[in-house]
Amino acid sequence: MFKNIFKNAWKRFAAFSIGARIALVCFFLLFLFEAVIHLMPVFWVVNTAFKNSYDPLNSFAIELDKFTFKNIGMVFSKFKIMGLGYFGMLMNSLWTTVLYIFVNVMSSTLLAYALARFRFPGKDFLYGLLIFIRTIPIMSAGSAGFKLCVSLGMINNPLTIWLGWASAFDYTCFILYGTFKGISGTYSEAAEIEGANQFQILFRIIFPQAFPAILALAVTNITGRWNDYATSQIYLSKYPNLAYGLFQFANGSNNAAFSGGKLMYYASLFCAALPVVVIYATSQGLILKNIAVGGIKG
Amino acid sequence: MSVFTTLKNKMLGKYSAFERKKFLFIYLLIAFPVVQMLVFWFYVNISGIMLAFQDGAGNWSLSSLQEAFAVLAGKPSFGFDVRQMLGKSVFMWVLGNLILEPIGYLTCFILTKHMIGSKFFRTCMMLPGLLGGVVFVAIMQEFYADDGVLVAFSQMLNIDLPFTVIREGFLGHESTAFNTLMAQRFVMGLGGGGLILAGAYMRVPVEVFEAAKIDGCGLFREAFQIAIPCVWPMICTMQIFDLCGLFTSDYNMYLYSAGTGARGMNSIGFYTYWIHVQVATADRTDLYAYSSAFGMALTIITLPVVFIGRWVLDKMADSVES
Repeated sequence: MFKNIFKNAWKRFAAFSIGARIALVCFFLLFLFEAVIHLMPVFWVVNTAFKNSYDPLNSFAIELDKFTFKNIGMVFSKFKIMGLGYFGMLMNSLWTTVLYIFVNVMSSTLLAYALARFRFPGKDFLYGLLIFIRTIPIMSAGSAGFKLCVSLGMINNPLTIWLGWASAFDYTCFILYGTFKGISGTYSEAAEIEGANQFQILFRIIFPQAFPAILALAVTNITGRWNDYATSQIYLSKYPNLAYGLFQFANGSNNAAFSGGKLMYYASLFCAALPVVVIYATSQGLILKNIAVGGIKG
Repeated sequence: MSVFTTLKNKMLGKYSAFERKKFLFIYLLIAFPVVQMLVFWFYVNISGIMLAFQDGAGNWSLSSLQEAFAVLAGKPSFGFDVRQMLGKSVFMWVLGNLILEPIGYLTCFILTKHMIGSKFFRTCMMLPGLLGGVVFVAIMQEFYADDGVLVAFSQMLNIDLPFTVIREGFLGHESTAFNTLMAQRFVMGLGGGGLILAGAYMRVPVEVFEAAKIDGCGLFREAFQIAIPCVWPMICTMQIFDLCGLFTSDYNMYLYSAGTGARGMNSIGFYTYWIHVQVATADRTDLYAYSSAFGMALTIITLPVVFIGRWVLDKMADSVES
């Protein structure tokens, strides 16, 4: 497989002029440099997380005799923020991420589908509003939003906090609008003639075709939500997620947690980042194929 | 006839029963998103605007708005120099959107269309975003610390470091902290690993590039005269979105400074979030009005920039079209 990849790459490379080949080699070196720059600190932390002692000068060396899972074990047994252990924070990250993505993507999907596939009174106004909300920055709403959440009893309330997350007039809707526009109307028209109702058309014909794009959007949203410390800090402080827990830990406001030292800290960073990196690395192709914003000529 | 019936007839009278049934389905679909928007966007924004015209005690007044503009003009606020933060925010926006992003149009094209191992390189370059602010910042803080690997290696290689760096690390002193973060932003932003742009390049029909190649088109002509013009509408859309974030992105300054904005690691994005945190966690309800007024002042500054930016982008789109 690799032989074919290199063979094809060489064939494409050889087709360029000398100048272009030199430029491509320079770009390759730039990307290599970028990869090293990005990987170096991460590798350092991950490598150190699996060692039994901290030594900055040897932190890039893979020392199998010092390899240990002890730090990972300590993360789950000793790491505590605001009385909550690492596993508890992991669960908080999980439910907030899943709930946020579900309500946000569902809400955006419904609006995008209606706007993209039907003509109805008020459609142009709603589409204009979507553009307006996305492109006109109104920055005075932060405190008012918090005040509203307080008055609706949404602070530290998992049963109602999702209402604020179900915003449909956002980037997700913008992208899904393009996706639904791009799906051919032939199948739904045929189904309509055969007597299918609108719900059947939506769930049996349109959704299966749009599903890869919806899934790709859900995956891209995962990174933002999993790593979101602000929601925990402001709206769900009694339900700290991993990001907020690590933020508190890093600031040393919970000194008891530091009893595990740097190695446990690095191991906790590794454990927090691993799920998202794995999900992204395995779904990059899906995202590349299915997410588009704006138009493409040609 | 009641007003409701008249309105209903006027709006729906021209439609058949079948179409009306369809409308019922559509309105059922959009009911929740629209109600959510009315409560959490419309009401919140209107109430935010109204708060901006009140004082800390809730009386109608222009004092909060005047205070916000005074702070932006240089009046110290909670020990912060907000005018300096404004300069930093503009600098960061220029670096990110006017320098790195255009470089990214070319590098992303090369990475997507002509580079072996593009998935690996892109995953590496996406790492800061994937790891998330907290984890990435924690890693970089450790990396730059006085007992971190960068200082240790610099000393091993006999690189002459300032005394403050040896004693407090790269982020430990005002003279080096902000510059270190900006250098990091520049070096790590050269690769053009943006997924959405890469996806757009991938969707440009292969035949277009093949035809150009047959006509003797070189690498850079392919990039500047075919690929970038093809994805130009998408670039414009992204640039308009970026314009709106002129003052909202803070490059994780809140995290780097552990929520204090100390050692020069601050920006307007930091300051607005910092006030928001004070309102929410320190129960400073007297800051509701000031927080809204400050946001309103930023909106007043940003709006003309957004409109001018959109006008320029439209003009550029027209010239690319022709």
